[in-house]
Amino acid sequence: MFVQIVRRLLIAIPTMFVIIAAAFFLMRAAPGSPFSSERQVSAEIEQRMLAAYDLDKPVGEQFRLYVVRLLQSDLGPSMKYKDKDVADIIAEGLPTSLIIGGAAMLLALAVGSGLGVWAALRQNRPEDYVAMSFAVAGVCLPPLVLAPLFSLVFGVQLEWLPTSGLYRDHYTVSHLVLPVIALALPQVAIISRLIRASMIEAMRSNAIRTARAKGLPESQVVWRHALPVAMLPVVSYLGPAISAVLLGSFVIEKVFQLPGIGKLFTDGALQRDYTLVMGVVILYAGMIMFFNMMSDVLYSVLDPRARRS
Amino acid sequence: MTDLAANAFASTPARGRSLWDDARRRLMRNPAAVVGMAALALFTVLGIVGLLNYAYPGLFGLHPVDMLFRDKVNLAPSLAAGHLLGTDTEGRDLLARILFGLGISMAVGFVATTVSLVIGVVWGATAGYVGGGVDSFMMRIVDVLYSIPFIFFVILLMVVFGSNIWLIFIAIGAVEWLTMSRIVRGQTISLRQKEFVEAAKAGGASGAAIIFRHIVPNLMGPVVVFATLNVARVILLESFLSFLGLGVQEPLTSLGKLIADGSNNMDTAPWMIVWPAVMMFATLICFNFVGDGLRDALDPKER
Repeated sequence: MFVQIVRRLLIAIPTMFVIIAAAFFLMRAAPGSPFSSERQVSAEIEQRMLAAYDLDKPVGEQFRLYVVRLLQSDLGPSMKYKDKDVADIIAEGLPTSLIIGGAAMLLALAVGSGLGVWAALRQNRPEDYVAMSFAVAGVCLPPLVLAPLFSLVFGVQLEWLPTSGLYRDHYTVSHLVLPVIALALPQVAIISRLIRASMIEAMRSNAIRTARAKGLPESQVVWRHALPVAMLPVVSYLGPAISAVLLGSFVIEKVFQLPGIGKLFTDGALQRDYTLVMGVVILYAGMIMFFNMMSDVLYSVLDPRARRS
Repeated sequence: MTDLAANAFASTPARGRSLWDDARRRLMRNPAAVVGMAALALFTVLGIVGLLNYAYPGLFGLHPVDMLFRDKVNLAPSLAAGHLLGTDTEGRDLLARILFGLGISMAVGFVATTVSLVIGVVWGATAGYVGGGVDSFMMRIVDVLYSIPFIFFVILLMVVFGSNIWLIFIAIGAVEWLTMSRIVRGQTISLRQKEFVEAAKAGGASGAAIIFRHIVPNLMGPVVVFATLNVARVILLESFLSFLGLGVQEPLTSLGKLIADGSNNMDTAPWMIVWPAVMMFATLICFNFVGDGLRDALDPKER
């Protein structure tokens, strides 16, 4: 396991460098500058503004300076929000994104596993068909479809729950219900389908026949013997699930006007806030790579067959 | 899987059932897949009508896509006023816009999937057939690309070069070929050892001829399944970009952009979000029905 982690890290470092370089040069290739939308200033002042952010230097030199800063764990100043560092802006947005994303992941795992096991134990019965129809529909209801509809039905029409108005210092559960459910539902659907399929296979295995032959009660057969095996495909799906939730949160934050990372990123990209966009790319790319690695490592810990190869 | 070889040597009049004959029969017995295929055929026609209505306004008796009915802004769906699905905040006919958006979304789905199909099949089949060092080098490249969260680059590309639908086709297609090449490579490796490939080799066929005449036709099963589901994924990805304001730009529109417009106006014009969302859901679920149906129909385990 240790060797595997080291090997993954050795691949991750150059990959991260490539991501940083590609994102950096792409942003610099974009037409317009962070200051182009502001009111006209004299050439001299503009020159000084560019110099303050090192934007007057050759691109290669800018990149070198950026990487040197990055190695000192400094993401640099924002180019749009004056007097603010990118790290501070991200730190303000991160709690909202993490709470919503984390809650959605937990909800998806709990409900998805429960539903999948429940359907598998009733294979080909009406309950199974109902659950799996729900799951097929859920796969086709991504956040960008579901979030506005939730907002319309429960917020605007029924007025049960607020659809916006969450501020950093003011967290209420009612503001989070709709965003979290809209973000979690497609993942609930995907996880329940995965679990159902692998649970059906696990229940047919010889290990389960042995457990039953020993006279174990059925509940123990299901929860102690079949479920841990059936969870394996979900473990390897955790990485993709987390990146789906991170990206979905971009949409959710836009619909419900939440002050999270996704909103910072899209606003930053449109306004050419180079350093802010770079900061978010580095953070999210790093998180996705980290969780992909963790899910692979966890898989090999849980499945001895994967460890050998 | 060996139907090509079987056909090549068939001299008896009795015609064997090929994998595809069997698959077609099984697919036709799957009601969800049949309904999905019929609906997709309908949506494709509707999408083409929507695109033609943009190119040649008024061709099908629909309202032109960007005609502004200034006296009928935010009109609720009404048959009497001649706007079956209502109008948007600028007084444009929503039916015409949804058909147009459907056409663009489907076009993005098909073109980007074709791009990924071509790159993925060529890359995967070559790696799998040549094998050895070339294979591990080519697949290592895929592994490295896999670990990069590409969506950020697609977003950045959209920001940098903006409003260019061709770029959307290429960027999405270029991201989606990775999985395709892995599937194709795995299939190629198992096909490489089959007798009909050996026969072709003995007959003096070149490497490229063996790959494209003998191997590629036989690995189309999993590829078709993946491609069908991939169209839905691409439509979703494009909608994601359009929803964030980074996808197609006016005067073009897509289902994702219509949903974004609708979600900004849901207080005053709820129909602007409901109909595009329904259309999007229907399209995605049909692709899933057909994709799942094809997978079941082509699964050799069932034979």
